[in-house]
Amino acid sequence: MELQKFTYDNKLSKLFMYATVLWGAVGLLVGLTAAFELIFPSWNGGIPWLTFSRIRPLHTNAAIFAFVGNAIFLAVYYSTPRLLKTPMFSKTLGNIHFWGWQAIIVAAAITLPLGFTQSKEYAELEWPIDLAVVVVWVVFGINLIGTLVKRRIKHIYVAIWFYIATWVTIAVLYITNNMALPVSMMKSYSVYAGIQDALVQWWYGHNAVAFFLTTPFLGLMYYFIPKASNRPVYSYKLSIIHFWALIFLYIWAGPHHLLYSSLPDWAQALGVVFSIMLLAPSWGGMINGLLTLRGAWDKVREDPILKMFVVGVTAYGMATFEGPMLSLKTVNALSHFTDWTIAHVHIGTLGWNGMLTFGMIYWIAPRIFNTKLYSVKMANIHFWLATTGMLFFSIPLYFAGFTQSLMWKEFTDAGALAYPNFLDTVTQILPMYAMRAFGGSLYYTGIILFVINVWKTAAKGKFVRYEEDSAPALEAAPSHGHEGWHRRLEGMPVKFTVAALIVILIGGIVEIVPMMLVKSNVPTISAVKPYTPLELEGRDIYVREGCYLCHSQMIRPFRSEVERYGEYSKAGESVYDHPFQFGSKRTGPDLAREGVKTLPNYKPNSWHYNHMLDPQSLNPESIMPPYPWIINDDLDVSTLASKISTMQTLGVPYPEGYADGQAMKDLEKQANEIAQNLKEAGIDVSAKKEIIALIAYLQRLGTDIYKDGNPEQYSNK
Amino acid sequence: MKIVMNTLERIQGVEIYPIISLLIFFSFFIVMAYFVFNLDKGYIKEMKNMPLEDDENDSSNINSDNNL
Repeated sequence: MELQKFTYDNKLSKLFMYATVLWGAVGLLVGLTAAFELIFPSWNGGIPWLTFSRIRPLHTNAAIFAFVGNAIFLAVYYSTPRLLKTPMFSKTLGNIHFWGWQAIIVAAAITLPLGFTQSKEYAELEWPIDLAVVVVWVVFGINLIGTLVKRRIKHIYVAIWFYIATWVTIAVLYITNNMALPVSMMKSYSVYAGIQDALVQWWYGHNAVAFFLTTPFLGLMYYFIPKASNRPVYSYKLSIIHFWALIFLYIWAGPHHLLYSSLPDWAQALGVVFSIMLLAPSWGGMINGLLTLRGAWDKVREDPILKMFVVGVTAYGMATFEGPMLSLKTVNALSHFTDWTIAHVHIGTLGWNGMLTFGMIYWIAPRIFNTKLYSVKMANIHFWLATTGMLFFSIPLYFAGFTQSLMWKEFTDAGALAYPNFLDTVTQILPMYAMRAFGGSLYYTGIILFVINVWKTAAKGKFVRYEEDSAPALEAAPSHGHEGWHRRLEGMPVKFTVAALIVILIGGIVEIVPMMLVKSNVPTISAVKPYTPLELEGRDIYVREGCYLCHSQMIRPFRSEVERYGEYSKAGESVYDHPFQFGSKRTGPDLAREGVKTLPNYKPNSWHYNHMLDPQSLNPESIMPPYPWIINDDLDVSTLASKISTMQTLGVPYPEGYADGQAMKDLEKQANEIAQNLKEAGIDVSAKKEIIALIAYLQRLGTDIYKDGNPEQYSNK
Repeated sequence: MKIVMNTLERIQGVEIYPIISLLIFFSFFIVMAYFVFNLDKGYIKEMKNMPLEDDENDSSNINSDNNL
């Protein structure tokens, strides 16, 4: 049998490795800054783009798409050619993929702090950048599938199935969730509204975790753990079963992010059942990863790479045990909107994604630079800093989560809320926030050692651009007896991709389609009207500043919440909310009924004005950052007409021709009224300022169903 | 899109969806498990060792030229 010679090109592996290290250092530094801003709220120094609510999306996007994203591409570009015995399909596509992705990251790093955001978590990027993501993702897909087509190995190893599932599912999720109508170059409105938008978003959000943070890393695990321990995967049969079960089940579980919200019960139940079932394939993966090291535990004692893999895979096991537990309604009632979720996701990212990435790079770097790792000792110290840092980060946040949630729910014997002032529950957990920042600092110190170690390793070695290998052509490859259906499927990469697509689409369609198309799922409430032009502009400021990151707009049907915030939120109330603003975390109180005058927490216009200017002057212990620019800047109304007509296209019932002039007149009229009201309270401010629009929006929140004084008459059923 | 929406708006008994989905998954899982457990041993062995085939490097990750 004639052997064909070919070479692996390490150039893109090297570039993706450098990008992973660089963006890891940047993204985590932004996260650390955000952690400190929660303890020292005035750290932003009145600078918009340094404010917590602007950099929090930068941190999450950088950690997910820049750090983890580049690590995924490194794993794919390194392992795929070696598993398929062929170079990658196209160097040009590879270069477009690499530089395109980095350009997207830079665009994100500029636009997110400037407040250009769609306000959907992990999908904040505005539409032009979304289009670029789609183009680069397609380029990546062509390069991946093209490599599969010209491979010299008949059967495709399990790691690559995970890469394929990642590619195909992220494509579906990303496009579906980012459907939006542009208003201007950097502004768009989601085509979905309210509860439908929330459902699509969390279907995406959940599966971004599944197919960006999990499946590619399982692929990575199935390649690099056997490599680093020099032994085959524990059970290949288990890997097949857990692959299909995982991709089938994951996609259904999204609604568990919306328990007790105004999402219909059947969709919530579906999310819970599948979340619990998901435990089985997740743990199948963890067991397979850990047992691969059976008989090699002596090596684990000394080898920092294997140590990192063990802690990473264990963190995966912990996070995927916790996930289904968090989706139980009783647990979720306690955990949702608290720091518990933040702790949970950081076990996943710092533990699973971080550790596997570090281990992989410590393994690859010496090989592509044809040298030894610069310092094993330093890598060991990094391991300990990362492990203890992760624990110091997460454990205090678990306590913060329980503590705050229990305080929210506590009643006195007389039947009143024990802590009616939300701020009391915040000051209680501030020490835990400080501990978290300490844990983050430990983890970050490890990152610094990581950067030095990789850099020094690269500096002392010599880059090996091409590695030679040889293999027989595909036609001549030997076959083993009779072919099973799965083996035949693996032999056909395009069909395999289609099969994976069908499997994930079943879950998506069953979950999304009835929700999108059955009108009866969202009972309409006639009292709910579209926002006025000024409120709409105010809402866009609320979106721009990222208020949803700390304030929910979703009152759950619990006595403790109805007592604190007012009547629980109805699905019909958010039908004009493009995009929805339910939020997922309450660092501050819920704002769903902020404008209802009859509720105990009602605040007058002057309070909002002073609060935006200097929150600590009203509540010395508040951890809200100041937003002075909203007071100082003029409201930009140049796109008002475009905003109104875009909303009309999306089905919001503004009168015909409203955008042409009447909208502006109404805006000015309402702005003058608010400015006059502020003047009466002793605050002299022009009606043209942004704060006026923001106040208009805040004072509108939740008021529609209170108009006739009987909010209980409306139901979700 | 409107035509699709108007048609599907009349769907009754949307509650059946979770039950159907559970059944789809369950049958899918059983069929898959059956085939996986009947897979050829030689094939499994070949697949398992795939990542290790090109390994002519020494397998130790922890050698460093200095004692740092």
